[in-house]
Amino acid sequence: MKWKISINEENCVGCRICQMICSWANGESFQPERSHIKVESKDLAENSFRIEIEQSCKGCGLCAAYCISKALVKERGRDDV
Amino acid sequence: MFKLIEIDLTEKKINLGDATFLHRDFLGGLGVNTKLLYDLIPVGADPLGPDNILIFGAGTFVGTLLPTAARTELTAKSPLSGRFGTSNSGGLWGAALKFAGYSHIVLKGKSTAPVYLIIDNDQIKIEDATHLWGLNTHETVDWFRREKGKDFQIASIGPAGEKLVRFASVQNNCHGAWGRTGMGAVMGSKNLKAIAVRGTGEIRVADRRSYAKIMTEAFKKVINHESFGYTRRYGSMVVGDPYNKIGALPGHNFTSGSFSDWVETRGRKVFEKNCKEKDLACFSCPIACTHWTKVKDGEYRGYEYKGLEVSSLLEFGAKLGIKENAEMLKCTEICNLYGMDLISASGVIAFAIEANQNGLLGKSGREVPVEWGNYQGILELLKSIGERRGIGALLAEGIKRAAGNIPGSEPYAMQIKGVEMPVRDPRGKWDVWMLGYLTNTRCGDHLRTRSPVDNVLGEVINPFEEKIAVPVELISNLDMPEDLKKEIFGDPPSKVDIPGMAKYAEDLITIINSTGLCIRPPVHRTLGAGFYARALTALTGHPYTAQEVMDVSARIWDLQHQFNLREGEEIGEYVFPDRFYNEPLPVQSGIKQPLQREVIDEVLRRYFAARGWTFGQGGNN
Repeated sequence: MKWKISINEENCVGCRICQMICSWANGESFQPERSHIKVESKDLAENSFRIEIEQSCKGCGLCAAYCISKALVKERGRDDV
Repeated sequence: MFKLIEIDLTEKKINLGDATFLHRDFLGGLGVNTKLLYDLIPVGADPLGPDNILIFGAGTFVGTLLPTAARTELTAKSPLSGRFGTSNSGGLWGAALKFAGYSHIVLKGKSTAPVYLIIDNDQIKIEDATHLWGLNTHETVDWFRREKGKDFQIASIGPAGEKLVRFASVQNNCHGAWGRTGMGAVMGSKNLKAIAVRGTGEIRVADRRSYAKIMTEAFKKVINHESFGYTRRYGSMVVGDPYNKIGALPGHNFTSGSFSDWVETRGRKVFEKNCKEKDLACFSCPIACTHWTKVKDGEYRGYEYKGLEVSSLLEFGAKLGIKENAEMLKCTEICNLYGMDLISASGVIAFAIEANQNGLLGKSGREVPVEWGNYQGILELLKSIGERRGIGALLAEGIKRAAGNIPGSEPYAMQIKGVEMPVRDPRGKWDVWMLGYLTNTRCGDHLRTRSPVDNVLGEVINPFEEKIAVPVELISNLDMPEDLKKEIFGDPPSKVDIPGMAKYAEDLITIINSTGLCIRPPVHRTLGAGFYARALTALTGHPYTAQEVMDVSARIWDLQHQFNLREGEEIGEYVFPDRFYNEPLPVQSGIKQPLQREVIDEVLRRYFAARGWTFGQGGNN
């Protein structure tokens, strides 16, 4: 199953767990830089975040599974689209 | 696997070293900092001179996905106490350092002119910071993000660090801080304005399968723990109301243990309703216990800042008597901009207010409020301290030195071993946590002795034993050697032995601060040496045993104590200020009795015995 992930930036707390689990599951190590999802602060306050899922995403859905804040939510299988 | 950067700021030399064996012997983070500090600082070195060493140590698990693995310890000889100084902070900085390829930075010597350090993966440079000197910490972060890149994480000092305020902090980006014991003054004394770090590399794990299992186990424990919901909802603010209930607030410089209007004015629900906008997290933390505030109603409607944290609440709200959450936050903001520890800043202002109430400040009294809760007066005094202006210059020296210069003010000097006493009154409730105010190696502080079974509302049997105030299953499930469990709780569990638990709690917190997890979530203190041994083994490939981890943590604590002894610590310093032995504490429900000096001494004697130290000689192990 490949998942479609919906993004709710306003829920993001900035923990970067999505990037960490993505790089761990899809690579050999922890490396946010090489994850298929990018999270960055919008400004100095570091209270709001820009989230982007890259084209390279394989749709494993782990980022959403680990996102307790529901900034990332598994919607439906990408295969069903 | 672990590398350190050694920088001589006098010679402008940069060396890289391997820290693998240091990690093996001292766990990492705080443990490695402790060993380096002990070995590298000459005895009697001036804390604000070139011989002091400043060490940043990202915890061993930082940069991995163990929940809350974000913490970095910053260690030096403290200019406030002249003893072991150390402070801990989370955010993103430590992870950036790890992804750049390093666990520790050791800073020696002193630059002749202001400099900053920039670490961009394997590119490490010392650059001129003349143009940054004088900027506040927000301006400094802003400059780095604009000029160097928005993905740099910044540790910086503000004007307070530059002016050697003895309790200056090092700020972690804009809102975080290595707050306690004056690490910012040490950084300022070295003419080092900031360390900017960008790391994009990888962190490999020796045994992926085992580490994955341990991560899953830890995540499940954190998320399913009964504390998860309220820890996210209120963060550290959760304890404010219980402190008021038991009469343990540090109200008005420890003269009032509770306030009749506390819940309506400063209670956690008031904060939640009128201030809290959203939750925020440190790196790798699912709990997200910090908050962003946007004031909804009243005079400060629309004001936004990060917080509130319980330290600001108890220091500005209780110790100084400010009632508005937004005003407490604005005081916090000033401390962050200037780069000052808000606990020591609040403590020294409380001291000044009480000295002024008693007519001891002469003409300088015009610069200090007389009444508690005078927000404008307190705000101005914070700025004066940050700029060392007027009486601020004296208060910037900390309570102990300030009291030495104001005849008759000693009764109002609430400090232990030179460090301002934070957030709780021992007369309100005596427990493991309060014993830690006397025993912890960074002097008058509250965060190095946190019991895995603490419950603010729990009762005490006598000064040596607490009642068990957690479900008995929690004790049977504690990851702790069985013989030690019986020793501390009895068999079957019937009490908590305060001196024995204080030692265990300190050793546990030492493990947490060495491996880089966060001490705040109650669930983490239920994990013990067994868990850490498995996780360290999986990460590094070196086979740790639980016993080895316990032994190493005790050794780290001993070494910190040895450092303090070497600097002249004496047994007579293990005391609270006289107020706590002489004056009853008024609370809403009546009066709390003063501590009995000989009883506290006996508790200490038993604690020293638990540590294997000799009481009366400051310890000698």
